[in-house]
Amino acid sequence: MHSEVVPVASKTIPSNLDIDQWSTQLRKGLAELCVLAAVRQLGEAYGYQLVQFLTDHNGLELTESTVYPLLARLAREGYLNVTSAPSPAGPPRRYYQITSAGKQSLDAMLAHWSAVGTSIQKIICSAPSQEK
Amino acid sequence: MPEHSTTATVGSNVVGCDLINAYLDSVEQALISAGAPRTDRLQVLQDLEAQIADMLAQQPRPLTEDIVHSVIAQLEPPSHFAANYANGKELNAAETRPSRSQSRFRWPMIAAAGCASVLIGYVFLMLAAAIGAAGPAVGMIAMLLLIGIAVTPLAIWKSIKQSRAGLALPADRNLVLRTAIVYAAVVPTSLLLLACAATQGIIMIPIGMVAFVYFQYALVRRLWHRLNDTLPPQPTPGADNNNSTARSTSTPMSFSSAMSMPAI
Repeated sequence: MHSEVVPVASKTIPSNLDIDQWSTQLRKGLAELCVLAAVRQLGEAYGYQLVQFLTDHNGLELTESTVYPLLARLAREGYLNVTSAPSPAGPPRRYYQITSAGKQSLDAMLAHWSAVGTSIQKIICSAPSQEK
Repeated sequence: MPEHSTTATVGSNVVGCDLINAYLDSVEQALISAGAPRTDRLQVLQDLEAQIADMLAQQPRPLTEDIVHSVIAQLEPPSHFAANYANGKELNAAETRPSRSQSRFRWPMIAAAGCASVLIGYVFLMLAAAIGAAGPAVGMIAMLLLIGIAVTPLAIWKSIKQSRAGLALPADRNLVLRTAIVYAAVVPTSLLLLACAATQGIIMIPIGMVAFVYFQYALVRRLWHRLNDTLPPQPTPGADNNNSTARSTSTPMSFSSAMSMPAI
């Protein structure tokens, strides 16, 4: 009846799957978690210090155009406190500290991230055995 | 735009302060266009200014304009800062990435070359007319002129887009401005002269009439605004009545300060 078997995946998923776009979306979703976690880890940090800290971690690619608007939004929403202090280089630096609301939010995100990570790991690990 | 605090703090005579101000202005414009809240804009700009100051502090002394330019070049294009807002909608990085056509050509140079070809074309055309020359050479000059007239506004428009995307060199800004001013001054005048020559001056009659009507309108409009601002508002009989409908119907012909001149 069926002369040839055509793999479904090859017909429905384009071969040139845009990994860059996928990873951009993934990073965008995790940006808040990373920034809040970085601020908590550093205790108190100014914008450029956070950008350097985050860019030191391969794969995240969180640059100033993402970090600064995110810091502004998190401060506006009460997850971060901002204090200004003079800088030897020029204009005053704005130091960010995580608030109690920010810590709660970060804990919730980390718990969710942990659950998602565990589930994904289970799926990945169980995938070869299901093929059998 | 006001001077940003980086240059104000360091000093107005700091090398490359124009470059820094231009970059920060572009970021601010991008954030405004994307609908970013005012508080966010101020905070982003302050963080960015502090970063630029830190990056400049790491550079060897004395600072030169090239060093400042290289520091600015390390920063992201201003349009990338708008990607987090974009009027409430999320954008992909690919959507905010500058298009290839914006970055491939140096449009301000093309605009300047187009404008120069217009000027050269006119000069040669006038010389040819003066000596009564004709033939393929004159045709080529006319072609050069037409290409310049057509290409220059397109290149100016692309240059503006390139500048807004933060992809143009700082020196290109003045080049675009000069080109636009020269083009706007030369081309209409030259076209008018050509039209006069072609119609033996008859074209000046309708153009003169249009110009007269326009200047008359501008004069009356200016006078209207000046008088409207100078004269005290006319007291209305029902001034104590808060009903705006009743007030407007009781003084149908009054020139109150709230009345604006109708546009034509």
